Amino acid sequence: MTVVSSLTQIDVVPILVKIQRLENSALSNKYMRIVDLLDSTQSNFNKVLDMDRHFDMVADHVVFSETGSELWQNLRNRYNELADE
Amino acid sequence: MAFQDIFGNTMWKVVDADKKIQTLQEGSATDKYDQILDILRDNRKHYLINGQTQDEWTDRVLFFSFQREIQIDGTYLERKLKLENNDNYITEDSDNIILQNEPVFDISYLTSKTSSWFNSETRCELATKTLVNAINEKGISFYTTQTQTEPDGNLSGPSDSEVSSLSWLPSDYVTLHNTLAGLTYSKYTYYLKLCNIHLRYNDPVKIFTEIDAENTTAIANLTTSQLNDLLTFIRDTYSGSPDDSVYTGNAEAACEMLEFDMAQ
Repeated sequence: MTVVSSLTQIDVVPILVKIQRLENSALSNKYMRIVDLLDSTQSNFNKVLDMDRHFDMVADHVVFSETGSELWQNLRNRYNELADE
Repeated sequence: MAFQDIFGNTMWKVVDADKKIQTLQEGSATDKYDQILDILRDNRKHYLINGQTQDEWTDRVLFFSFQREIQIDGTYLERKLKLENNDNYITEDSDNIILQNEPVFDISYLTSKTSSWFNSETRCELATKTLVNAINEKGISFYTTQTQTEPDGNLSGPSDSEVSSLSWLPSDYVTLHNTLAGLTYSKYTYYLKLCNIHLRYNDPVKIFTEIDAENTTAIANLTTSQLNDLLTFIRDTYSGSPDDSVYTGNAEAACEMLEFDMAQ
């Protein structure tokens, strides 16, 4: 996998949309791709998130947090587990 | 053969015309695009004799006509038909409107063209930008004349079905839209789709779901080099219109999502 290092301005919403779309896809390496996306966008999560705006976009199997860096870590841990399975 | 018809002499005319055009382009004269268009028209036969094709010459006229349109904000100056003595090029060319210096970047002119006319990058780019600008202006005028409001107090926009089918737009806009959307997939198709998505949806989740799907289409239809060119084009286009920060932000997000997909 190639980590894209230049995703500097992208907001959390399109990242979560992309994660949703990848998770719902039939790609065999979808969890690795999600981890890769998260690694490319870690700094974009360094903000306080809006419960109304972001909660519904996070899968049920991931613990939501309004602290962006915490949510990023929860997402990273969960999808890394799934990629390893 | 008369002296002025010798190949080398007409070549000098082309060189001289191009130098004048370049100087005008770099200058700040308010009528510089009118002067450039006159130079191109006056020297048309010399350009054609010296290797430029009719299409290439037309594209240059279209390019500067578009710059002129932007500069004068859609208000066309009244101009007279220029004719050279003993030159019958007006009757030779089917696109008289270009030679007569009438507005070429209005919707009705572009709507009259079939898809085969849009056979160059210049025409696709300028026609797409013209259409997108016209739709945006139509959107602004829609709201300025609208009196009906939503429960939250905001002015009502076109209904979802009107926006989705483009039926809130004049029929010639829709015709041009369909012509451009039906051309071979290119960065201009992507730009048009991006504008449609922005027009159709307010909800960021819907916007980015649609953008993600469009990125898949772009990757399926374009080479890596074309995709990189698309990214540059989209970013250049939006950096020139920073007045709509939501639009510009969404376009940058679309580019970054596409970059991610390209790297996979």
